[in-house]
Amino acid sequence: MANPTSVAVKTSLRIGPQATVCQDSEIRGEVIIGPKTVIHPKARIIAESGPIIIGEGNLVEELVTIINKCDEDSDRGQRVPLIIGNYNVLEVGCRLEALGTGDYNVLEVKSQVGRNTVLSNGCVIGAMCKVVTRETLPDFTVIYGKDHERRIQHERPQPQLLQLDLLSKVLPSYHHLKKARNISRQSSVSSTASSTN
Amino acid sequence: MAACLPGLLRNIDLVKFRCSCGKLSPIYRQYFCRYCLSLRCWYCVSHEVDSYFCGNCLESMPSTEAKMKRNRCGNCLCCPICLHNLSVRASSHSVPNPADPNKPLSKKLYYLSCGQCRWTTRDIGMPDKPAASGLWADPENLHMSRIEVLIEFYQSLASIEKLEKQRKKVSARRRTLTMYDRQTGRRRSSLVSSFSSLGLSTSQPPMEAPIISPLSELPPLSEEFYSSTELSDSSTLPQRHAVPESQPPSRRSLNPIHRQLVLRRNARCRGCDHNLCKPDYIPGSIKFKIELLALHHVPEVGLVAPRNPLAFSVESRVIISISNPSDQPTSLWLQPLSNRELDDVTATIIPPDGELHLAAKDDMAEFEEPSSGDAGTDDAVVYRRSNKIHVATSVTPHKPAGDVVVALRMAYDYHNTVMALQSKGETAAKVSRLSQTLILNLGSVQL
Repeated sequence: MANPTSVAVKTSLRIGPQATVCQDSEIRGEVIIGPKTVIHPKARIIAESGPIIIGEGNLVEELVTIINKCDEDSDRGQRVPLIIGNYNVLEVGCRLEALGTGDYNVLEVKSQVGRNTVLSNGCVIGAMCKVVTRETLPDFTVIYGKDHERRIQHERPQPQLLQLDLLSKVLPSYHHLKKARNISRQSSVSSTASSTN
Repeated sequence: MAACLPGLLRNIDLVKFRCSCGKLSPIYRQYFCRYCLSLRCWYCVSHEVDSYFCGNCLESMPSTEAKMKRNRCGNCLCCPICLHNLSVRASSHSVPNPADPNKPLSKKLYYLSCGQCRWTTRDIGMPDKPAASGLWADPENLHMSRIEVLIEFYQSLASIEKLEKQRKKVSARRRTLTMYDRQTGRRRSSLVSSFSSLGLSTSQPPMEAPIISPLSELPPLSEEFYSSTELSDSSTLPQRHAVPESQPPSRRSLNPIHRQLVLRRNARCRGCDHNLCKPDYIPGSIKFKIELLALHHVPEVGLVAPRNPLAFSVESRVIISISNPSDQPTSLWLQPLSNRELDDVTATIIPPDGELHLAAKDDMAEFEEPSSGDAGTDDAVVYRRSNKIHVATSVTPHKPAGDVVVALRMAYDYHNTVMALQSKGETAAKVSRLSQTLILNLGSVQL
């Protein structure tokens, strides 16, 4: 958990065009947010030991914690970026620490993903499921149920385009938004492409 | 607020009442029979089937209809992977318009999808249907013809056995009557003809048993059993047992399963056969037609203080709360029970002597200001509010380890409204003195 007395990290936030980042969200460290992404209030994006790069069209709901915090013993001193791809949905209360996340994933309510897991594309982590194993989940994996059963689904989860649209119109009328120096669209695409490769 | 709900917010199993069958259970799980004036727990009540209903669509049906539908709901389908409810999703497809080839029509097609494991009907290759409900056909049971042949054979066997039983009874009667008729000298053949008028047919030759002849040669095991083992494709045993008619080994053949119906039951007193609990006709309603819960007829006892564990062989002050459920004021007497009667008791309790008065339950009391007066004339009452009192007792644990368990006998006046209605001319409800045995578990001894 983020320790308030930890080393003060210089906050540098870059928000892409058409992204909606609420003022009430806690963003610390070097964070790049892609275009069309919506960050709800009370979300926490904490880049303690490395930058966090979020792609486009992601939906980060309330009480979500995205945290880049290294383990005490391993990779000390290196600043590894935490990269999230495009059109992911992080539902209320989930916790994402995985260094690599692909596209079209869904982390359901109160799910947790550890640092050593790599989420590929189209995965669904079910509600209250905790995945902390050191593995790369195959594409389209669904983890569900009390016993964390797994299966492979046939179709990837639909991108929530309608929801993103609605939120980008509704949220500004009820919340103050964070405004940062906008990065150009071309450079955002290249940065996410180079980091995912 | 916590002091007002002593039993519920703290452990529900803290105070247990001894039922008429001898078992202990909390008052919230017992019924009270107004006719035999005794507590009935879950085990000394006879359970009867009231009706069946579907947990999803809340459609109610009687037992005969449920038997016809094999205890499954006709409308609701469950995911074959995780047995969760399937919800209908729509997807729009553009279909070439037969009238105008340039403008394609957008048609809505429906498919079923599971919310938990994200299974869809598209996974098994089922095409999307144009209607939301009613077109989800079940696959045919391959063994149905064989099962029907077997059922016919066994039904014919059963009818033959029934005829033979009847014939044995008749022949037993026939023997006595022939003895009788020897005296009159009648011929036997006429007796036979008189019995045939009863409608007994001569025995039919039994049907041949439909035996399947065993195969003399088996085809060799196909190569794919040795080479391709895709574990993610094979179904698990619980998934196969949920579909006993086909039990498919592959997940690609698992079809949606109809949801199983849930039972609703009546509770009937074993002593006097009166209904104690009968639910409402509508499954979605929480009301009851008949609701004779112990909570509505027996004073509720709870533990107020202390919150800390009691010390061994130290006389501690324990406060219990008693509340009156009826709309008549009642009197209460508490007596300790000797250790000889119960084995689990590990502490002695000295309850207050004498009569404790409890006011009637007033539904408007929670909206009114609490009245400070009316503290009552009883000395042991620590706190009083409308129909509830707090009473101080002293408890001394005997054993240095384990739970502190005390036993009390509570005698109270019960106003029986049922008997008053039945007898003519009596307007006052009959008052009877009832007594219940209580076991209180005050937590573990302080170590």
